Amino acid sequence: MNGLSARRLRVLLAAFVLFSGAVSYRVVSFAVLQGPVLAQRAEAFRYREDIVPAHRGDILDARGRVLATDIPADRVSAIVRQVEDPHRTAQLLAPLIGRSAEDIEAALTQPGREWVVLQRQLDPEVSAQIRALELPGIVLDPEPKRAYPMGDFASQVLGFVNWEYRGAYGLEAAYDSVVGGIPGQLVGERDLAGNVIALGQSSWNPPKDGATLVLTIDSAVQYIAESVLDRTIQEQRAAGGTIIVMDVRTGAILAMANRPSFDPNRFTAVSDPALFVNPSVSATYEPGSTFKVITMALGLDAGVVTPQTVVDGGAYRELPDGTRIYNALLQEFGPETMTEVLIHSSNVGAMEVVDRLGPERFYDGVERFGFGQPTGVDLPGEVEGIVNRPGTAGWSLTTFYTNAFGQGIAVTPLQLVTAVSAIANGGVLMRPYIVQEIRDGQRIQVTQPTPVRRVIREETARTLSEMLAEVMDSYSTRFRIPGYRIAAKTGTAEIPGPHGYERGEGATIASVIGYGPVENPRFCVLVKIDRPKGSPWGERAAGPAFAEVFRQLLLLYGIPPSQPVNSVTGEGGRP
Amino acid sequence: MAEGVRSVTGSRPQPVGRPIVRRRGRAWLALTLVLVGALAGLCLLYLEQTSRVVELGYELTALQHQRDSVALEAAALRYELARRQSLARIYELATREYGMVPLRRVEPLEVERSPVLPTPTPTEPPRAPWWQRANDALLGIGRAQAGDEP
Repeated sequence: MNGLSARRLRVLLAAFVLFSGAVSYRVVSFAVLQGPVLAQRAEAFRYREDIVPAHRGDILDARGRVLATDIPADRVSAIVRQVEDPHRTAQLLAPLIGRSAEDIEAALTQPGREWVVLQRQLDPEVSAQIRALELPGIVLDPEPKRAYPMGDFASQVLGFVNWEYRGAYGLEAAYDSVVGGIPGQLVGERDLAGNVIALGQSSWNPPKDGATLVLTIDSAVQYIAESVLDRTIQEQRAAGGTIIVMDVRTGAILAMANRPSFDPNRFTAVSDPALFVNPSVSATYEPGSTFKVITMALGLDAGVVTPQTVVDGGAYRELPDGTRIYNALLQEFGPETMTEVLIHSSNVGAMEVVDRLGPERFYDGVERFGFGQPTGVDLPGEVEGIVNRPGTAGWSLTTFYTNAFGQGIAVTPLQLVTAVSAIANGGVLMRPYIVQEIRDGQRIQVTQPTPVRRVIREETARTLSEMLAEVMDSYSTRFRIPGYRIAAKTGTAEIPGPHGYERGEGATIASVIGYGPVENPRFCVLVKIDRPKGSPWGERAAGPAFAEVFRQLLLLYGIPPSQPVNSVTGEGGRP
Repeated sequence: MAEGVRSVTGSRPQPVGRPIVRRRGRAWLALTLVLVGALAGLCLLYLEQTSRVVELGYELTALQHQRDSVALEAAALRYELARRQSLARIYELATREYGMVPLRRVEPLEVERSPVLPTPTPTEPPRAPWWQRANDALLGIGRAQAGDEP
């Protein structure tokens, strides 16, 4: 062996040693140093856990119409390193997924990102178009989408589900744990494509689908309420309004219409989140003269007045401190019976009743009727209203007297409907409810009507119903329901502002509350119009809507007239 | 050694003990072949079963996906049905396309209920003679009566 060969051999040996060393280092590095981490990663890749979403239960109305359901949708994502041409991909996707091309390109070229979600809840048609493009690195995953087939129908009652597929407002939020179901879990050994290997180890915890809710809301009644409300708001150029229809015998809510509202299918387009809140339970207002029904009920029940009791109906009442509280339009009625106090909507007469009752009996009664506390309805965000009792900061002798005719006291529309329904059904306050049934597989949970307490005697309720029927007759020149005896009371409430009550156009809340037929009351209806500009008065702004709702309601439920009548005219035209 | 010489010089030499070894060797070989064959068969069976199970697994997954997509399609149809049942849409259809008009006049009519008729007394159906009943039973003949359910 010559010197050249020996040198070559040494170089070869050195190269071999170097190569062996490198290989050994990598082996030690993979097997020992990074061993546990890599093993964990391999394990995680092989045994991937998939969350299997539960099917969200449907929401149906009392007639079985679908108000909320799941529909198929897709989520489009990008595996960043597999996207060959981000610019072209962005250009092609932009018109389909509703994002700008620049935005998509920026998402696709983010450094350090393995994948990005580009858009969610795509319609099947859009998914098909994206699939047809066959863009490298763009993948579509199915995901459920909540849909509300009737658009803004009862939207503030239903609420909606957010991007995490959890209920955000309304019944979707209140019953999220019931409707939402429990997601399942699939842990399994997978092949390269991510499919579960049949022979591999796997564990399967199936999802539990959500229950179906059946509401007390009757879509036909809700439609009547919403249509009439829309028309009235338009006619009166009002800011909004509420119509609630309740079954007085059970406390079941048949309709709860609010305006303005929103389309839960497009909740992201709503700029003011206050629209998501249900004003029937979450907003308070001063009920005005509709509250005289409660004042009169308490006075009659305590025996301090009877329908025939006569009081001096002057234009005002002067308090010991010199404050004068006037009737609306400074009207002077002269001697008037209690029935006339209601017909005239006399503030002075109502003050006379609370004067005879005294603060303690009056406020005990107001609280007994459920004011100043939540009704317990199965809707989220219910507020309790404001009732200032003697001794509290907000109380004074003036508020005591103004409370008699519904000013200086704040109630929710639902509280007022629940309280007046108690008078309609003979004196028992019922807990209002909106979910009639929960259908969970074979198990059906039916909500039973829940009496809360007796608030007035049955005889008092009957007497007051007769008085209110006379009040309704007195409105016949403005609105009427021929053939039926309905008990009702209008109200025109002023709106408190930071500097006292507002003045000028659109500064009132016009409302009518009533129930009927008086012989056997079935429904209690509240029509509340916010800031009407056509007429500020309850009788004119809300009265025709009240009559229209009642007429349609009585026809819909096939309740025959109790009084002789040649014809029942559908004055309002469309429902 | 002497025996060996003798055998060479005498009759045809016979190898002592070799046939037994060959027979044993063949037996081992056969056994080995059988075992290998059996093992190979088992392996093939296992492979066949495994691939079949895997295939069924994929088939099952595909069917599950199919079932899911059918369920989603059903949900989409249910949604479409609900959308078309929307009262606002029905109203629009009724008034625009079918020319219907909202209810304007209702006339309640008083209808007198007709007096309740007395319940007729059930009469005993005529009974067939015994010989006819026996004949019917033997021949499997059934006879309908006026009061029988349709």
